[in-house]
Amino acid sequence: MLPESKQLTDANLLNAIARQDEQALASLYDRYRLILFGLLMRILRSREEAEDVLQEVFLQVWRRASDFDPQRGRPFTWLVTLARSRAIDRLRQLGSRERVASSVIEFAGEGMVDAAENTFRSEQRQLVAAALTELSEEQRRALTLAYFEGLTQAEIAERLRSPLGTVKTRMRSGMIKLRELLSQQMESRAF
Amino acid sequence: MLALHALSALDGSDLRMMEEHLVSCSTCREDLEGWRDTAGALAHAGELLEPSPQVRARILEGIRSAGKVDAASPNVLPLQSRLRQAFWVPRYAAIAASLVFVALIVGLVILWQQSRRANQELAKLSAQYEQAQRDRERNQKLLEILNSPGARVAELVGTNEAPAAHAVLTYDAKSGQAILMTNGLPPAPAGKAYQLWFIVGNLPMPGRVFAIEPNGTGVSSDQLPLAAAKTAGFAITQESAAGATSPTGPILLRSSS
Repeated sequence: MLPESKQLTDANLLNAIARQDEQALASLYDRYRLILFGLLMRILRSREEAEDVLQEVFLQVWRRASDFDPQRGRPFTWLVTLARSRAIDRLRQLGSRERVASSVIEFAGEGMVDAAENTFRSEQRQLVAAALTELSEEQRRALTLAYFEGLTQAEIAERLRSPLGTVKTRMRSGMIKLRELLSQQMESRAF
Repeated sequence: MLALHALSALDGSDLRMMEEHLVSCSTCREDLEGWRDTAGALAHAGELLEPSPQVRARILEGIRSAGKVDAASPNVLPLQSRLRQAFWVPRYAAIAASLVFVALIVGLVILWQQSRRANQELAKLSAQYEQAQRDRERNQKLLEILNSPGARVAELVGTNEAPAAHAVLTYDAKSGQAILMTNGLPPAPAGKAYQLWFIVGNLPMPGRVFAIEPNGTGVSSDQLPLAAAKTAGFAITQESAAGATSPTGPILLRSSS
């Protein structure tokens, strides 16, 4: 049991989950449900699918927490990579990428948390938002299509009607710039 | 390419080469984790949204019941007791027999349909298995080439005829063994195929013809002529499906050197 789970780091929580501590899993869920569900909604555009995948992600965390190696990466990166991979797998299973990408689904009003009232990782959010404004529109567009729609470089080139080489260059330079802008804060904070 | 791999954006030969490279390069594996941090930070660009409270409850219920599936009570009633009840009144025996007969026919039709679907699935799985076998053999050969002392990698870029095309030719300059991987080329029309050329001086020497897979990639094993192994340039054209002895179509891709 974890008497003061709010004081524990993410790595502490994953360690406890690996020992099958239910409270630790609940604490990790409470800590990251908003950002992960926001990510899943952005990718899947369906509350039902996003909630289903969110459930799968945490059940997978329960089974695979012992696989997490703190020497190799950050807990947040591990968790968000797991969630995004599951969501993109689901998107491909649904075969609805084109439908989803071309449709306009209004979901922002439903269950949305006012960032001004919720301070959850607001600093990181502001930092990432500011960094993205430093990228060119083309770089931002390519990275967004890759990250939130799960498109590959060839699919992005087709979507943007740009040569593949140009798309690769934009994505690479965009990621390098993003890393530079975030690097100082990433060293001092747990992303 | 690590940055793009962290976004899961690589595909085709880029993805295959990256995955093969990561197997043997611990430095790149470590660098990849750093790029994943950068990619993961993009999650902060999304909205903060509240899932239904039931999700939390379902997760906790899920982890608690994970080990209880085997102990679950059976949810199928014994068929024998139902049949016995149906035959208990003799005057309904004929009706019951008819119903059972109809049920058997329906059951047989369902079984036949399931069998047909299973056969189709089996054929699909067999095809996937054969493809996986071919991929594994090709990857093995690729590794052998890359590990050879004469390993070379040539990049071919699309000309104005095929600006989206890209290819990598990996070959052993000593043995001449080569593997070509392309992406961005459309499937060739009926009766046509793509062909690799080895350019020695100004003389094009024919390589093998190859087709484009449904996933948009093309893969071909080839053997460089001795004269081409050390100083050749490379090009790809579209020719007849049987191949040509000298190029007849425009150059679609060419190596930079």
